[in-house]
Amino acid sequence: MSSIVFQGNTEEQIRQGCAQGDRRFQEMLYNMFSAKMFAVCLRYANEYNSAQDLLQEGFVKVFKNIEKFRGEGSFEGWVRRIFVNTAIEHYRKQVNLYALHDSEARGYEYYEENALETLKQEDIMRMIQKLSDGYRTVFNLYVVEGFSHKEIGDMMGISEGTSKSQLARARYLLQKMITESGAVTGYSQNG
Amino acid sequence: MDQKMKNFDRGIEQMMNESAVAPPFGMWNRISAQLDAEVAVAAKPAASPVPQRSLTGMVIGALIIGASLVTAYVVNSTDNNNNRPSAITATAPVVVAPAIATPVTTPAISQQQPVLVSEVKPTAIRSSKPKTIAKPVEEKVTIAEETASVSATHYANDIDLLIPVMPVSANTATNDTYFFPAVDSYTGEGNKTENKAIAKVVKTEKAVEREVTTSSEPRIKFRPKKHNKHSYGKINRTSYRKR
Repeated sequence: MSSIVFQGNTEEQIRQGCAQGDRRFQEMLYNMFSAKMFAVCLRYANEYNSAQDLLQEGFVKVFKNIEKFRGEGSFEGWVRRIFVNTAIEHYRKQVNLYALHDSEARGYEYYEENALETLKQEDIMRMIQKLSDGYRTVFNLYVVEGFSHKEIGDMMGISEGTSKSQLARARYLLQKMITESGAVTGYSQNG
Repeated sequence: MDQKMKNFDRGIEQMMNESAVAPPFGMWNRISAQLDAEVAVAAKPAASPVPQRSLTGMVIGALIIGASLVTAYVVNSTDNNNNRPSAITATAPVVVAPAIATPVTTPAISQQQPVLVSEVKPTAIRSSKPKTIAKPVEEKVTIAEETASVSATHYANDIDLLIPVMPVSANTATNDTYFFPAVDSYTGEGNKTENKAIAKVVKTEKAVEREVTTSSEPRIKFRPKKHNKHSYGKINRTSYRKR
């Protein structure tokens, strides 16, 4: 299925070695995915240290449950899902979400389509980290991970409408931050 | 406007999915240490939910109960076997061999002596329930009328009966209940005197009906007063009244 070869070992060999508790294969797996997964953790965490905690907790879960991977879909996607779930569990108790009216969320409208091209990944990530826990989580789940509002509501224990309003608010705050950073001047307040 | 929103979302998605940030140095050591710790915890035997002291106490209690049960069984079985004749007939001869073989010409003494085991009857230990002392009950014993009629012939053969000393001439039948005809020692039984006396002993005891009470004290009946109060005797208030 997968043809990824890492340090002379195929992905399946690494999985089997990790399932047997071999520390060498576990380190190989860590080296394969640590950078990508740490970026995921940084998006869901509000600070750098919290992202490190999420990374550690996520990899421990991966090693403990690696034998449950049945080969359906990509292994990277499976690992990524574990990290996302870990982040959701971590912030679920802290997040206090409430539904917003549409008029609040539609205060700003986005005009400039090329605004993001002038920004770096680190800048966008830093802005996302500045969002509150609820907005950040819903934004990441909807925009980056591609979940629907219903799925987000089920995962976070909120209603679909709350997820929508949280997303709209997150967008509004993110656009505002981009505008205030001076990178883009294409925003105008509507009403 | 929605299209612009979608483009914004898509642009952020691409940037975030392509992003990769190297974790800080030493992150793998932290993960490895946590894995080692979890493996060590898993290798430990699961702690018993019951404390060790409680387990020890339970074991000791079980031993005590078992020992008492065995003792009770043995005592009970001994009690049941008490009526059976004990078949202890140990006649195993004790052979006492000389410890030191001396060159003396005297023959070696080999004592074969049966060991007499005296039969020991185990005393039965019976557990009995505590007797409840019942209230003394009045017993009414009725002695039935006893009537005994003994014929004279019976008394004639009884050597313990006293024969009144009287002359032969007075050998006449009387109404005396204890009359026995005199016997001439010279003539013997050949006396032509007609003995018609018949001793009749009628022992009559009329039925005596009496009450036998086991209680030593006379019965005192307390009768309730009209106002549901019990009387405990009269109080002499005369001296009080005089005051």
